[in-house]
Amino acid sequence: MGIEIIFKIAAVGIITAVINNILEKSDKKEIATLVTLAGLVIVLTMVINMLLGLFDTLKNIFYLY
Amino acid sequence: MLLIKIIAIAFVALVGYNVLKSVKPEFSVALIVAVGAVILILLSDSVVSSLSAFATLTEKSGISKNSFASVVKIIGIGYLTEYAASICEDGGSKSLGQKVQFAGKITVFLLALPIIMNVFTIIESVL
Repeated sequence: MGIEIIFKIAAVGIITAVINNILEKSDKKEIATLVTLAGLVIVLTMVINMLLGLFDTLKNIFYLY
Repeated sequence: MLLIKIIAIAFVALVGYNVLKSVKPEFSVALIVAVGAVILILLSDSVVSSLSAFATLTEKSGISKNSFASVVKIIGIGYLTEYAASICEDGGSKSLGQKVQFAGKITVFLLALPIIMNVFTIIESVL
């Protein structure tokens, strides 16, 4: 349940870093920033789904309607 | 044991956090938020069992149901604000964490208000 989300986020981070390096080497700086943004969006959607699950469980536990 | 599992997850996340900090710092905060959520979800079923034990206790002792419900709400709000505030401080902005804690205090006070009100009505009826 817990571990794979960590590895997913770390993997996305490292992959975007590698792609950035490659793009910077072939002097395409503007695409590199776009790749960073795309990676960030992917990670944020994953995190937000995780937060959704967390807030739902907390709402049910603590009657926080 | 659940505690050992959570400690293992925390250490793996710490290593991931440091790796991501050196490679791509924007992602490290997202990792911290995700791990915090995972740990709280893992803890949720033990919290449920402890709260249901308290619920049976309050039924026996005759305390009114809604005051126990608001106490549980206050615990939940404390649970959430501590989670958010520590992540904000970890992410680097202490002032944001303090603002979240301040918001939590205000909501807790708002929730505690009816309890204080009916304590006073009880005192007036006694006098």
